[in-house]
Amino acid sequence: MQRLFSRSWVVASVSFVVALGVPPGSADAQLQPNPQTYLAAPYNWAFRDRFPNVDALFNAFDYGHAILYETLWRQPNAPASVLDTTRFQFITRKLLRNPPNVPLDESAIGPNWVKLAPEVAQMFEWAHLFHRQVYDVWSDDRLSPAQKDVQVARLMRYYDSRDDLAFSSKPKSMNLMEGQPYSLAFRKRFPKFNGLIWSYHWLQMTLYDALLASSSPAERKENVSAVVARFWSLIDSAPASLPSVMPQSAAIAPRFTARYPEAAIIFDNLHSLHDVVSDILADTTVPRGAKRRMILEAAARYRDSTSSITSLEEWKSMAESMGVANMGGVAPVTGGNER
Amino acid sequence: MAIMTRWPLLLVLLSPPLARSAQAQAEYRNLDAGFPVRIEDATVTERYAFDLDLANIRFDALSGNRKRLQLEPRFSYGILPYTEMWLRVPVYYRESTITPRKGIAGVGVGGMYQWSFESLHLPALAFASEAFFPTGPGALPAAYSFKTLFTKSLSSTRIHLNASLASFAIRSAVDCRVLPGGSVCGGQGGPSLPPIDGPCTIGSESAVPLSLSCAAPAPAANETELAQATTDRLVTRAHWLVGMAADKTLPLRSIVFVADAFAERFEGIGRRTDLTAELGARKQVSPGVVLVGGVGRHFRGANLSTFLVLGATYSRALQGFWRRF
Repeated sequence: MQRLFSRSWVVASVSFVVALGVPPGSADAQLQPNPQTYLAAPYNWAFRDRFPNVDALFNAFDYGHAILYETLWRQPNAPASVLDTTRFQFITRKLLRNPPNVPLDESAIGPNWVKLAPEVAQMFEWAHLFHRQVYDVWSDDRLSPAQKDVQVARLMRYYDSRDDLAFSSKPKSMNLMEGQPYSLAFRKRFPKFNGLIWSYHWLQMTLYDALLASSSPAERKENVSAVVARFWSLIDSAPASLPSVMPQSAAIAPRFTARYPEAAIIFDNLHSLHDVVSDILADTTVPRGAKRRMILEAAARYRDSTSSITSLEEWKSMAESMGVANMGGVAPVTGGNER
Repeated sequence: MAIMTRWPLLLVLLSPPLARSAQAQAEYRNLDAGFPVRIEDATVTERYAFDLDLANIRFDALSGNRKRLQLEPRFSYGILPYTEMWLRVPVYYRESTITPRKGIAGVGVGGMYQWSFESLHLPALAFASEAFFPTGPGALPAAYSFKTLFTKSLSSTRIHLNASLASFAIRSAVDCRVLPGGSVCGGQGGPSLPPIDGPCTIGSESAVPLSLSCAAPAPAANETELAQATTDRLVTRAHWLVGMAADKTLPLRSIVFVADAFAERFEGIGRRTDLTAELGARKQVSPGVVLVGGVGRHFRGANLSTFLVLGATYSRALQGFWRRF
């Protein structure tokens, strides 16, 4: 009987030995944040149903972030043309014109980036889910404004339930983004692609104002069309028209910021960390072996709600002082806040 | 011995189960065992994600123009951090010479735990286990499996390694005698066993006539023979499987192509090691739906067959059973 099992035990033993050889507590193999799906609700996919073309644009945006990090990691000394010409042209002339109709898997586009900092990749994913679910709430015509507020508050609780993934809802000092040794490295090496990423962030935030300002489905459609048209004008006249400073919610999406300041801060922190990761990866003076550690440290600072905090007023005034026109402009919408 | 020759082994075998995505809305890259290929990736269903596989069909073409169908509804859920659980209920439909021709093979309940995620230097690692409870008259005892899964991503492909060890129960009154130190099987190579996950396998799990041997179907058993068989001595044997898969993704089209090959062996019944190769694809057609298709050839061992797999997975979030936000 034992002989009959011998081959099986060899297989099992090999499996176990290999498995046990992976030190779960080591920095390289530690158990990372547990992936979690979106919050189930009746409004799920409402934005996709009503604005499929804009939803598809967001799918394409996922490609831009992933390919950016993958390129910077795999080609640390890549010339500007790799991103600012080849990738930029592909994205603006092909991908955005014919965007995918389903969300993309970033680990398929940037497998090495995801392996480098899966914790941060999951932070981005978690925030992007939050982003999209707020669009869903404000696209669902069955909900009254008050009910939408309730649902957004519920989404906030769901988002904050993962403190290992959630960005702080406290405004962070700009020093985290622009006062570090690696700061600005990306925008100096790849200004055009940097402007493209900022144009993404501009559309993501101004779209909220388009949804919030509308009192009817027809008006909502008009406002969404208006911000999308402005986005295309930014792209079509690139690089001159691309944002030259990071779009900030308080300046470009004042309605959303006033109604949901914590969410607006979270998204600003998300977009800031996007830039910080780009800077760390683009900075050739940062040793390759130190990049993961520095990315994780930066991410931890953006999750932490006790350090590098500024006041709400400072955050708003800083956004205004940087010039809304340099960010792509305020959301071009009509109508007042839906009450 | 007459009974032994007429009643092939009853086999309970564990099919490696579901695994789902680390991505909230893109499921297509998560390879599930059997959908479309047997080797899967080392990723669990993300927490609060609920996956339904209700239309997964496998069509097997065996020798002698025999054809079989298997339907395997499955449900999986990300129940805890790093942990998924699943339930599956295989249903079979076979050629008319076998009785019963159709039915529910049993119920499988299992789980998978993500031990570590992939890093720059180490592959992702997960462990899975399942208990399978055969149903029907004269059902065999439950079978159990343990499986280790690795996934390593390269720039343009992913490599997956699976190794599993499972138990299966048989009635000793076939061609093999269980003796101290091992079993002795009569005939050349012993009795034939059906291919893993095939309609033969699931049929034989449930106390159906021993003529379920896929290689040589025998006349259907009558009630007396069935009763006799169910009184035979039960023994537990081991089954092992090792396999490797490679996949290639077209990320902007949300489709993954995968090829695998695996070897498996049913210990103690005098059967050669079985070899199978498969090709398949998974395509995300909407945020909640993945279409699956594949073909395979069981080219070495008993009951050689060519098979086709088609299916769809519906995924959605599900919270609220025990926690409200």
